Amino acid sequence: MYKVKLSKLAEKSLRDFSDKNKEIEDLLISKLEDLQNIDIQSALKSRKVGIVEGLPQKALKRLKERNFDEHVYEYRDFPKSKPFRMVFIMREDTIVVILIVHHQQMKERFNNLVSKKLTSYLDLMDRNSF
Amino acid sequence: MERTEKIETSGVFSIKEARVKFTEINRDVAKKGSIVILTNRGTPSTAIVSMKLLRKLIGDKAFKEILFKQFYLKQVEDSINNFFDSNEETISLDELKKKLGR
Repeated sequence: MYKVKLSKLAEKSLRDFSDKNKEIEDLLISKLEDLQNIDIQSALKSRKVGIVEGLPQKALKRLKERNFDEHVYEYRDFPKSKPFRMVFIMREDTIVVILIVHHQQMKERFNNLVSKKLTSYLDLMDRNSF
Repeated sequence: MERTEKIETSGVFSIKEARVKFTEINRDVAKKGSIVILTNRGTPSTAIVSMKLLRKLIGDKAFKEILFKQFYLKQVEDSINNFFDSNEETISLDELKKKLGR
């Protein structure tokens, strides 16, 4: 059984989500409880958990220096209508959740950001002969 | 004169590949824009590309997916740094449940 902890950032995210909706709070807490008894190898096999690929070596080195497992994991076992992701790291018998995001909301934020920034950038480029 | 060859954007380029690819494309292009190329090690590198290509890439779904992945990875990286910079400050699940009145 793992001790499950949350970083300050993850706690804040959970509180922000739960302030808006108690049903989401129940869901996130139940998934954190699920993490206490997780079998990482079988969870990886069933894709309930995935490894976050493509992180810079600098970040992974930092984990290793603090005696954490060299991988960063992502808990994905959420209903399709509530596509949350809980990112966690592991050290011995402890799991630390460092980030909780709503995948769809994050994507919408990203799309807005990209379209706003790129539209103004392209307008600017069109006005100036580069 | 603008080149119109098809660009494969579903993969992530290595720095070397990206430089070769984009140098070829941009030879003799008058109007240029700057773009971030995402490498297979997650390291961004910049290159100059034509406006026409830039517009093409922005509209490309696969390219947008690559950008989104980088956006997400940046958030994960920031949360790792934030955790260590705050001296690994945490709250246990039990404490959190108490705080939430559960």
